[in-house]
Amino acid sequence: MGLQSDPPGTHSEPTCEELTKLFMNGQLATEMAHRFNLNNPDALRKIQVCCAGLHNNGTLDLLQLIESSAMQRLAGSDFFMAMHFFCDILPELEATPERMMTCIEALVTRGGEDLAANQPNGAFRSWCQKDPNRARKVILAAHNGDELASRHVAFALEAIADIAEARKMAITYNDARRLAAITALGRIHDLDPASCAETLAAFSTLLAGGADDKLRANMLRSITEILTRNPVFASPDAVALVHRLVENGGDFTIHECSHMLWASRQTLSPDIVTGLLKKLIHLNPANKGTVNELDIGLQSLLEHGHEEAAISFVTELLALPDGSLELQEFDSFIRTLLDGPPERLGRIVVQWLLLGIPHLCKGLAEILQSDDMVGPPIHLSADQLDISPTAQLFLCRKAIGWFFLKPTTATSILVSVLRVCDAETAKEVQALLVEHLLLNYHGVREHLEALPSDDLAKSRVDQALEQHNIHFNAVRAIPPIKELQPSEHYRRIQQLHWSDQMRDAYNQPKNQSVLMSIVKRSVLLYGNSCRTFVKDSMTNMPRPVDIELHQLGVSFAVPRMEIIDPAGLQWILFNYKHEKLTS
Amino acid sequence: MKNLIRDYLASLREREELDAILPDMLSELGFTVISRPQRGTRQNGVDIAAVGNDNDERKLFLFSVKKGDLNRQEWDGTPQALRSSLDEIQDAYIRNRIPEELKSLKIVICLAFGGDVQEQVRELLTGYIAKNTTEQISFEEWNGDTLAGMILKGILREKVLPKNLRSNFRKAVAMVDEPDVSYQHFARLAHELHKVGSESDKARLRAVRQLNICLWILFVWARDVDNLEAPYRISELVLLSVWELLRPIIGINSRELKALDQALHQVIHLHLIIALTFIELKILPYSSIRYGVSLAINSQNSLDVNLALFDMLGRIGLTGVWLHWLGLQSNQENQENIRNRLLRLFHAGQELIRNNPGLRLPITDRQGTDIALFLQLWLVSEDNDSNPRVTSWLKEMAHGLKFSLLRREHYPSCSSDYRALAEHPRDRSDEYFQESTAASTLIPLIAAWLQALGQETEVKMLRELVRSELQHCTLQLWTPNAESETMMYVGGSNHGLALCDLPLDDGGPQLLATIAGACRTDTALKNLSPMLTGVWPVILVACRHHHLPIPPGFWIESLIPTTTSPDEMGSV
Repeated sequence: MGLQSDPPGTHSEPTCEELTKLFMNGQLATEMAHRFNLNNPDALRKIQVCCAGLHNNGTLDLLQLIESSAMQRLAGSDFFMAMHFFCDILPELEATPERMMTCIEALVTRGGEDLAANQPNGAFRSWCQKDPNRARKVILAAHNGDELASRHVAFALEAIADIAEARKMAITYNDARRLAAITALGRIHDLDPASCAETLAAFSTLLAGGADDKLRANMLRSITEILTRNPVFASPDAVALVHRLVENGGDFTIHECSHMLWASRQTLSPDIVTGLLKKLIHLNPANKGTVNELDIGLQSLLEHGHEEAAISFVTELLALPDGSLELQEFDSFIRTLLDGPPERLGRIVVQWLLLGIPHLCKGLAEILQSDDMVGPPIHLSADQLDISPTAQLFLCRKAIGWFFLKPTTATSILVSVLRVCDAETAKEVQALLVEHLLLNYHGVREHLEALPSDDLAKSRVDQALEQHNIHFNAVRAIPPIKELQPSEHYRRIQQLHWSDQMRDAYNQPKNQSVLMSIVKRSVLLYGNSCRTFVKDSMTNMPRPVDIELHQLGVSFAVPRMEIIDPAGLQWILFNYKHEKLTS
Repeated sequence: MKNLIRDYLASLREREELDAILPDMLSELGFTVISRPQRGTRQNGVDIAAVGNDNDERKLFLFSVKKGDLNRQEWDGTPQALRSSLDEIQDAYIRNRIPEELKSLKIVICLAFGGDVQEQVRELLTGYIAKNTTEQISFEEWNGDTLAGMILKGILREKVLPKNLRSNFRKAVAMVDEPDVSYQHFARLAHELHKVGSESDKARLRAVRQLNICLWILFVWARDVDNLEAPYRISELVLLSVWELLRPIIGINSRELKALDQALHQVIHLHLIIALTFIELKILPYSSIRYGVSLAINSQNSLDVNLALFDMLGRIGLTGVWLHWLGLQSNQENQENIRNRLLRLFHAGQELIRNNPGLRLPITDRQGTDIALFLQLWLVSEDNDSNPRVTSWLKEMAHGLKFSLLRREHYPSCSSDYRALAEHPRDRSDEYFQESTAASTLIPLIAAWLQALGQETEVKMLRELVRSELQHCTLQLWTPNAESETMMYVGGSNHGLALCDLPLDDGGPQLLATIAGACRTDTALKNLSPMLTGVWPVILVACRHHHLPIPPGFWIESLIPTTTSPDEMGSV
C-alpha cells in the first residue's frame, strides 16, 4: 500500500479490499487514527461507507476492533482520532444491542475523564434512532433488569422520544433505571405544556416519596433542560418544584443549581435565582466542578439582569468566616465585571472596601490589573461616595491598604473622595495621599499633575502636590552621605542576591508553564529575527518561516518605604487592611 | 610619601590641627617641648616652646603656628596675623615669659605653617626677618615642605616606620573612599605598630604618636574627599590600639605613662573631632527632615538603610557619652558648654528616630549595641523631659518586634553576616525561624528598659511573645569576664560571659533584679583597666567596634528603682 511512506494528501482512498487487508493485518485501528493519511472529507466518508458495508455483509467485523482492544490500545490522541472515525460509522453497523452496548461502554471507559469520552453514547443514541427496534430491545432488557441495558436505557428512550415510557420507568423503579428515565425526560422534547406538567407532576410524586441528593440533582437537571428548551413552561408549579428540590439537596443538587444558573439563563425568574443562590451559599469549595459552573452562572446573572443578586451572593460567599474560596476562582464573573459598566465596578469597590472583609478586598486587589502594573483608575461617583466623612476616610485607608501596589487605583479612589468630601476630611485625605502614595511612587505625581484643570478635585490635589514638593525639595537638597552608603562588597552581595531572585522568578513560571511543555524552545544567540524551517503538512517538505523578534519585559516601581522602612510599611498596611469601620 | 604629608599639611583647616601634631613631631626629633598649645589661648604669640639642638648648639625654639599658606591677610592686618604674633613674642614673651634656666639660650623664632609663603608676602617677610634678626634672636621658616620633611625624618622615619608599613599607610590613605579597604590597610599598620610598640616604653610612646599622626593625615585626606567613614572606624581602632599599648604600664609611675596619657587624650580628642565633624556636619542638619537621612543613604536595599541608621544612632550615642566624660574632666564653664552640646546631640538623635522610622526595628540582634549606646546617652544626659519620647520609641520597637515575629517578616535575626541578612528571611519555615531567632540580647534589653520606664503592658506582651513564639530562643546579655581585659581592645570578640536564660517569664521586675544581681556580684567589668582608670568609655568603644553588646553593668543600676523591695532582690 505504501500509505506510511507517502506524503499525506497525495494519494487516493483505500479500496474495500485494501481495507479488509488492513483489518486482517490488525492495522485498521491505527489507520483510522491516522485518518488513512487523507484530508478530504468526501474520501473519508467513502471509507466509512465502505467499512460499514464490509461489516454488514460479514466480510469483516468492526466491533472486533473494540472487543480485541485494538482500538483501546491506541495511545493518547490516536485513540480519540480513531474513536471519532469509528463513531461516525457506528450508527450504520448491524449488531445486537447487547454487543453494541458492551462496545460503547468499553469505549467510554477508555475515554476516561476526557470531554470527548461520551461521544460513543451519542453514536449509540443515533444507532437506536436508526432502528427503533434496537431502542425497544434495550428498553425491554432494562425492564427485565439487565444492568447493561439499564445503564443505556436513557439513550434508547431519548432515541425514540418515548416520554410516557420514561415517566413510567421513573415512577416504577427505584434504581439506575429511574435516574436514566429522569435523564431521558430532560432530553425528550415536550410537545405541549400539558406534557411538561405531567413530567413535573411525576417529579413531584418522586420528591414526595422521599428523594435523595442524587435523585433531586437528576430531576433538577431535567427541569433545567425542559425549561431551557421551553421557557414558556416555567409555570408557578415548576418554580415551586425547583424550590422544593433545592431545599434539602446536597452537593449534587448544589452542583445542578450552579448549572441551572447559566443553562436556563433566559428563563430564570428573580424568585428562582434567589432560591438557587440561597442553596449555593452552602457549596463545598473543594468541588471545583461546581465552582466552575457557578462562575459561569454568575457571569450569566450579570449579563441577564440579575447583577444585584450575583454581586450580593459573591459578597456573602467570600465573606463567610471559614470560606476558602478566592475571588479569582470566579474568573468569568470577574471578567464580565471588569468589562462591564465602570459605574457598577465602582459600586462594588466602595461596597467591598467599606465592608473591609479581607477575602473580598484581597480579591479586588488581585483582579484590578493593568498592563503597567500600577492598576487601573477607578472613578467613584458622588452618589457612590454619599457616605459619612468617617466612612470616606475609612475607604481611603482601605484603598491604600489593599491597593498599595496598584498606586494608580489607590490614588484614583482618594481623588474621587477629594472631589466630594468636606474640607476637614480633605485635609486628612491629602495627608494620606502625600504620606503614602506621593512619597512612595514617582508615577503618582505624574498621574495627579495630569488631572484636568476643571476636575473638582484639582485644587485639593494641587495642595497635596505642594505639600509633597516641599518635602521633596528638602530631601533633594540633602547631598548623598557617602559614609552611610553600603560598601562595594555589600553592593556585590546584593547584586548576586538580586540576580538569584530574578533567575528564580524567571525559571519558576517557566517550569510550571503548560505552554512550555508543548512548544519547542529555541535560544537565539545573535540577531533580532529568525528564519526557521517547518514541515508542510500538505507537501511534507520543509518550508521557511520568518519571525521578527521583539523585546518583552516587565518593569515595576518599588515603593520607597519598602526600602526606607519595610517593617513599618507592613505594619501600616496591615492596620489599614484590618481596621473595622466604627459607626 | 612626602607629597602625601605635604598635601595633608596644606589641607589643615584650623591652626589647632597643626598644633596637634607639632609637639609630637618635635619630641621625635629630639626637642624637649616645654610649652604646648592650649586651645583658645596663646602665650604672647607663642604656640609651642621647645628646646633643641641647632648646629650642635642648644637653642630655644618659639613657634608661631598658622594654617595653610601665608598670605597677606595672615601676615599682617589683624591681631591674629603672624606679624602681630612675632611682635608679641619679641616684645612680651622673650622679655617676660622665658624660664630663668633658659634665658641664656639663643632664640629661634619659627614661623610654622602648613602651606607656603605666597609671593606677595615673601618680600615683606624677608624684610621683617632681616630687620629683627640679632645675635640672640634668629628666625626660621617652617613651611609645609619643611614640616613634611621633618615628619619623615622624625616620627615617620623609615627606621621606625618601615617600607611595608608605609605602604599600608599610603594604601589606607589612597583608598579612603573605600572605607573597608582603607580600614584593612590601616589595621595592618596598627597591628604592626602595636607589636613594635610593645618592645619598650620608648617604642610604646612612639607607636602611639605614630598612630595619632597617621590618623590625622588620613582624616584630613578623608575630609578633602568628603568621606569620613574610614577615619571614624579607624579612630576607634587607633583608640583601642593606644589603650592596648598603654594598658600594661598603668599604675607604673613613669615619664612614659604621663606622655602616653597625654597621647591618649590627643587620640580621644581626635576621635571626637572626627565623630563630631561627621555627625554635626552630615547627620544633624538633616535629622529633622522626614526620611531625610534614610534617603541620603542612597541604597535600593532596606538592609543597607537599616544597618546605616542604627550604626548612626550608635555613633551618636557613643560620641555623646564621650562628651559627657569630657565634661566630667572639665571646669564648670566647659561643663556647661559640653552639656549643651551633648543635649543637642541627644535631641538630634531623637529627631533622627522620629523622622527615620527604620530605627523602630533593627534587622539584626547585634544592633542592640547601638540601641544601648543611645540609651546610655539618654542616661548621662539626665534629660527627663525626653522620657515620653524614649518610652514611645521602645514601645514601638516592642510592638514592631511582635508584629514582625508573628508574620515572620523583617524580624531581627541573630545572624550578623551580611549575606545571611540580605536573604533574611529566607523562608517562613519553622526551621529557619528557629535558627534565626535562636538567641536574643535585644529582647532582654528592651524588656528591661520598658520595665524601668513603667511600661508593664509591653513587658507582658514581650513575655507572652517569648512564651508563644520564642521558646527556643536563649534570652541573654553579655558582660566581660576575666579574659576580657586582655582580649577586649584589639583581640576581638571571643571572650566574656553570656548571662543566659534571663527570667522574662517571671516578669519584668524579676528580670531587672536578676540582671542587677548578676552585675553586682560580677567583678570583671569593674576590674577592666578603663574602669579602674576612669576612662570607661573605652569599653563602649570596644563593644561598638567589635560588635559586642553593651554590658548591663553600665545601665542596670540606673534602671533599678531605689525602692526595690528586698524580696525582689533577694532571690538573685
